[in-house]
Amino acid sequence: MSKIKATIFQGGSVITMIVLEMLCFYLIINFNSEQQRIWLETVTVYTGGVNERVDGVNSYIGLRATVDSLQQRLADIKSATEGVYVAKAAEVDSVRDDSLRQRFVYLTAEVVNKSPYGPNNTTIINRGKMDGIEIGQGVVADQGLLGIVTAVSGEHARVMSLLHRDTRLSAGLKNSYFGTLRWDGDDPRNMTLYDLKSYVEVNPGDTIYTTGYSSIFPTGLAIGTVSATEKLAGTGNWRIGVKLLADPLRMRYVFVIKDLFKEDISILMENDER
Amino acid sequence: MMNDSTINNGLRFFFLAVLQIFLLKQISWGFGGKEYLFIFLYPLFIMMLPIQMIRHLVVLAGFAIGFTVDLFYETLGINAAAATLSAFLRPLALRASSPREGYNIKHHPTVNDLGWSWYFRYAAWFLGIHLLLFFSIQAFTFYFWTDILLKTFFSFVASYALMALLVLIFNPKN
Repeated sequence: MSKIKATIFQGGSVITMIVLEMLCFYLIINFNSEQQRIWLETVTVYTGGVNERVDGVNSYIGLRATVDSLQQRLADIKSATEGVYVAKAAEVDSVRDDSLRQRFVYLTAEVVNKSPYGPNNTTIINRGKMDGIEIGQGVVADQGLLGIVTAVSGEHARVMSLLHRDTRLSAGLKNSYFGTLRWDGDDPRNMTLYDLKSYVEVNPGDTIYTTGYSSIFPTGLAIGTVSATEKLAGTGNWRIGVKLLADPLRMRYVFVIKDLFKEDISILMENDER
Repeated sequence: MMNDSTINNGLRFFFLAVLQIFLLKQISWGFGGKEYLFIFLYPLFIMMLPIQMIRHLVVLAGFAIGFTVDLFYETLGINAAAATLSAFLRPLALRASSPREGYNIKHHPTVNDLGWSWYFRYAAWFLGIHLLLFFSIQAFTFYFWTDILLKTFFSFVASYALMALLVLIFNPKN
């Protein structure tokens, strides 16, 4: 045995052999599909566990960028869905070339600060005057509403959460009867809808939507579902408990909604006042 | 320093590579949907390199012929890997087939110098090692070891016979 060993290793070409073999195997693996497949499978079997872990860590590191890009994409999609368009087709013959005009655009934002939980909750987002944020714009997350912009600085804006005792939001049913949505400062999961006429039929489980009768939110964003109904004595109105679809306190990635018609409409409002 | 031996080996490289690439590449035989018989004569080049040649150079020469064949077989690296390894292991074949009195410094690994019985033993060892390495590397896994052994066996028989014929015809002196 030692003789065989001596025969093989005398003359010291081991290094040459090893270097060339490494080169050969590099070539084999990179230029031969069948051998490459076997190699990759073998590697996968032996390193699968490690790779999985590395992959997990990597995806966590890249999470930030992923979320950003998804947010951007979502904003694009939201800006292009039907709710943000208003029908402009007049009931005349003629051309219908601009039957749908975009009214709302969505801008991604992230919650960077929150007031301590209390009866008047506010949130700071990382968009401001620089990004075209103005007072009175609505802020939503993917699943529900967050609130309304009430103050703007250069790079940030303060959002009055739905969970704020000053919040008054026009909200209603699919059948376009509507009332005012308020929060009584108690339960962050529930809000209350006032001023809906009690002759309107309301059932628990009905969805409450934004009405779009303001420049804040587009029409038809789901806010929550009816959880309790009660006729408010002496007013002829409902007092409806609304269970929110999403918890405004836990929202992080949000969208600011900009109304492109706001100026157009406010001109008319001013004229009206005169 | 170009002596006869160097020139002869150079010519053999060229001749065997051409033979392998243009003629023997076409030949294969098998059964049951699989190819089991291939003919490899280029190992003869490595076998006939001078016995005293520096081993680094033998290994490099093995790589060179293997790589050349690979380029035309479109199996980049497989022949090269087998040829490099068998060139490295050539002393094993030389020792296993060594004549009783050992090799002397003037011996060339030829029938002319060492006789047919030596040649047959040497060729059997070298070709056997080479083909076994080649088919193992080609399979790239020992999972199909029966295939590897069958291919080695059939290819060995055919290559061994043809190689002897070639040596008989040309009967090189060095």
